[in-house]
Amino acid sequence: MSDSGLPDFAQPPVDETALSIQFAPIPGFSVPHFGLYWASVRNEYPRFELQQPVPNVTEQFGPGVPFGRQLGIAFLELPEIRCWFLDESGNRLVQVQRDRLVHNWRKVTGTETYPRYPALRASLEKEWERFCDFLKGEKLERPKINQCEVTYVNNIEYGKGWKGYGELDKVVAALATPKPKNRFLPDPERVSMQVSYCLEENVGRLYVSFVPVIRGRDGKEILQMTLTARGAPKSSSEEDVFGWLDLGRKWIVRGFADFTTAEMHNVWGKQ
Amino acid sequence: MSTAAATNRVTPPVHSHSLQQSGITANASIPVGGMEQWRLEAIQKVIGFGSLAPNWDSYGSEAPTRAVKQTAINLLLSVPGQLFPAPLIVPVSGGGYHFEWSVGDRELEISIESDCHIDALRVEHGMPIEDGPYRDFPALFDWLASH
Repeated sequence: MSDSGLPDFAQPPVDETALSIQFAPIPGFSVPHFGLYWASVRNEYPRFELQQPVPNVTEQFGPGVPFGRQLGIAFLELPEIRCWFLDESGNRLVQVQRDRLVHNWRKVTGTETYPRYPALRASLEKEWERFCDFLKGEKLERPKINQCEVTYVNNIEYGKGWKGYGELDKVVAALATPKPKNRFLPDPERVSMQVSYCLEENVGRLYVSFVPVIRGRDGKEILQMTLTARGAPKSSSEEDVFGWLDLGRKWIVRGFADFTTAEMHNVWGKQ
Repeated sequence: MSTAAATNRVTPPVHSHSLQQSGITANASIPVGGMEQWRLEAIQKVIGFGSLAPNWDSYGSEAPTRAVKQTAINLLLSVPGQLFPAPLIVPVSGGGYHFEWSVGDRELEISIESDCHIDALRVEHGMPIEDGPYRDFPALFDWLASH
């Protein structure tokens, strides 16, 4: 167990993490502000890439809400962009758009060591403070935060504790039941799976997915397990926002441990 | 999984939508569920050529960039169904890709240059028909299939 009391692994299969803070679109925030903001972080993030903005996503709860999530639709008058600001290695990036700031850590070569959540949280705190200071300097209003999101992407490679989808029960604990004898179906060729859970007191949801993918870095086919926790903090205060992110991370770590088997925990060096 | 033959349709709850992720991750991956083996191997080959060492052709060429690689993957993902054999794929000097599909007497050659510009060449009985910038890939593959 780690010092936070959560399951801890010496070699977790995590390939990428993203900590996201979504807010109401900041009035007056427009294309020139991306460049002005870059000037304030360029010494640490010397590269940039333009991307399509990601949609505004809000978890919905309660009766009369037909869908769990709501995608925001806006009639835009101005061009909308999302900008990635990357460090020299490409391992860390800050994503900014008019209604969101995201801080990612990812593997680029595949040999990097996961820096652990406390370090990533501290890094997001720094970037968030710097972003808010920038907005203040530009006389723009402080973001009104409406959703937080934590995403962990885990790459589970074949040959490390399991050989293929006929042995998925060696990876996914929920599937680790005895297989009936004389079953008709052969081993599956591939398996995809998606599950969602409500967080305590409906403060958000945890999404767990298993999808066979080709990894963009090296073309290897792997099983990608993605865990995303998303929900609304009580307020826009930093205490509530980072408290929610801590809760989301707790659900992800405990969900990961629940979902995967003890045998795979050994492969990943559970401590 | 295809549901084209189903007649009773329901709207699945949002939890079963694949759009559960908001798109905030940066590392690229391509879902392979139901993907034909030739397409999977072709995409892996495209990604593999992205790791070529500088000056791999001894003429100073770099490996294809991420944008060129993504364009090539998008092209492969847009090739219709299981109608076609695996293409020949080679990297080309300057940081691009060249694809060749052969069906009967017809060949379709598609090149992606380092600026992501795409050219296509149709060949029938060993003779080029025409070439130029194409965007209508379904029409090109329809031509190839109607040999």
